Amino acid sequence: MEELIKIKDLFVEYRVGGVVSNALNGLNLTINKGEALGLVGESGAGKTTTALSILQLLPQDVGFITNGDITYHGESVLTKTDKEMGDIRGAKISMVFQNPLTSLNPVFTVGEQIEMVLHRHNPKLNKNELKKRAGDLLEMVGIARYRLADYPHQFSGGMRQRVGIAAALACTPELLIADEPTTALDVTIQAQILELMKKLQHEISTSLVMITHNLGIISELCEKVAVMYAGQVIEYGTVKEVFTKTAHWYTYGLLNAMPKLSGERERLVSIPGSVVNSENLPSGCKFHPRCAHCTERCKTETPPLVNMSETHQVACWEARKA
Amino acid sequence: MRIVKYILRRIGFMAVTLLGVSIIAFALVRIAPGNPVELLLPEDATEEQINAMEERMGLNDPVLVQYFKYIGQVLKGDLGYSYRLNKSVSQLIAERLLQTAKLAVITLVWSTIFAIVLGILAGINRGKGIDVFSMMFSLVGQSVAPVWLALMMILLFSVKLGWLPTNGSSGWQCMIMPSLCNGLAQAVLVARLTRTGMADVLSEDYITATRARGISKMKVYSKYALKNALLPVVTIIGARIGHLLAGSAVIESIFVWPGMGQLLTQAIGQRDLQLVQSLLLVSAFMISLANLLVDILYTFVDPRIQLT
Repeated sequence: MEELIKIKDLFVEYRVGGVVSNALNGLNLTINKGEALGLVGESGAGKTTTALSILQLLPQDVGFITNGDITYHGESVLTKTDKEMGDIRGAKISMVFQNPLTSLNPVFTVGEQIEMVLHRHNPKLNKNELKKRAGDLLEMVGIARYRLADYPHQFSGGMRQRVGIAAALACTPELLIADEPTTALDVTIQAQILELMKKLQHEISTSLVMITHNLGIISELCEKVAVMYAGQVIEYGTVKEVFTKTAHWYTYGLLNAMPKLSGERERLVSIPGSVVNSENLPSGCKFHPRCAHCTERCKTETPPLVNMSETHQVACWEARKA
Repeated sequence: MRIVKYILRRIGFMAVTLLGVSIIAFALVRIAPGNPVELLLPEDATEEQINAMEERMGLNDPVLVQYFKYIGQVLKGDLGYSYRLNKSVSQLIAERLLQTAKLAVITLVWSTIFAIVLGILAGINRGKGIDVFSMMFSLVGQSVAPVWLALMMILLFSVKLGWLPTNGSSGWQCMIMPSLCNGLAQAVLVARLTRTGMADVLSEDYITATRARGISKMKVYSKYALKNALLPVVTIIGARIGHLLAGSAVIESIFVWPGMGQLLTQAIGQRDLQLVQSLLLVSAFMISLANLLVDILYTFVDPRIQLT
């Protein structure tokens, strides 16, 4: 399978007022062409940071890549100029944002916002062609064409997310990064949006990175899954293997924390403790303070990602045997 | 349809405001000490002459009658007569308004361009040199009293350096100092607003989303963030237009600029009753009209605003 994006040993820091947060701490991840990858983890695990790093859109003067590399088709994105990245953003790699209520500009019509990306990457299109293409895109996501002239506040949350998806897919990107696209929406709308994304991903055969903390969405949409904790990938593999032959105790805890629909009613199990403080990371395995299987080694040495099988990797000294 | 209703209602409010201003202006010029007729006639005027003049000017009528006579006159479009200057008030205002408007337009243009450029530069470079400089500058600019600034500028540019004339209305050189004094406070206020607006907008999700569509920083600054950042600025500038057209009494007097403000100062000094009343009324009218226009304009700039 062809590699689209390869992230190698990536470290990202956020520096605000003298305080340093270590958002990513040696992240390794590969995204293959045509593949749908799920990225899961608790809030603060570094999922959005990973997405913004790929696009080189970390907040200016705040987010810094301190080590590692990200390659796109084998070329490093870190050395590209903003102009070169601009040609990639929206055309080759695009992104759907978490909160549809804040990710559309309130003073431009949705038409203008879809046309903006079309125009950026197809400067030869004239006004009428832009309008026609934007209308087609709106219809593709199930919104009537005449609504191009409306402003975001005239749409519901779900419809705004559809607009976001239309804009993201406008130039048929190779990779679509969806950053918790349904978190801000209510459950029935969530299902519609996911259905739409699944359909469109197949229609335009784009790769997909689905960032979420909803494991159900992963098993529905993705072939591969990467579980993140404290800015590292701690388990990676096919959805089937990771979910059935879970090797990392954190992943195991996450799966156990899901309520079950069948069988006897049980008390929900939660992972003890809380997410690591990224300003003051523990040594060794970042999960060790919360892990029931922690040993002395876990406290001092960081476990590397090792193969459990061809398609399943885990970073744990005391990996669970399934 | 809705907008017509809105405008009609606002015009109703304007009428009430102007009525209030007319009452206050009428009362104030009468409460102020000094007899307008004695100031008008030569010192050796006799009692009879004074009485005759008072009679002619209608000052012997009861106050209420005087007020309603004045209002009736205004409603017919006659702003009164200046006995002092021997001209109709409308004619005087027309002459002076032109001069004040000249100054206002110049002031508005330079202060707006200067403020927005400075504000954008500061907003996109928050915490850096240009930002610190612009914020210090605006702190000083807002704190300095225009009167003091005017005198200091005269001292420096006219007396010491001899670059600019101290007063007068002939030629563009005469407009530089009055315009700077009139516009500085507003310019730095608008610069601050633009800077804050820009900095806030740039941290919004929709700007990251815009960048994620491949739009360059320059395009974001000059178009997609700017429109949002300028919304509050429109209000402030609009409100200032009315004030600028009403003229600045202090600045125009210092620089002897023959505008509305200077006319008002003279009129008050000479107890020129109808001239003072009508000047205040016209100023109030222009300020309310500017506010109304800004509110209507706002609905076109910000689609989220609806007039009700």
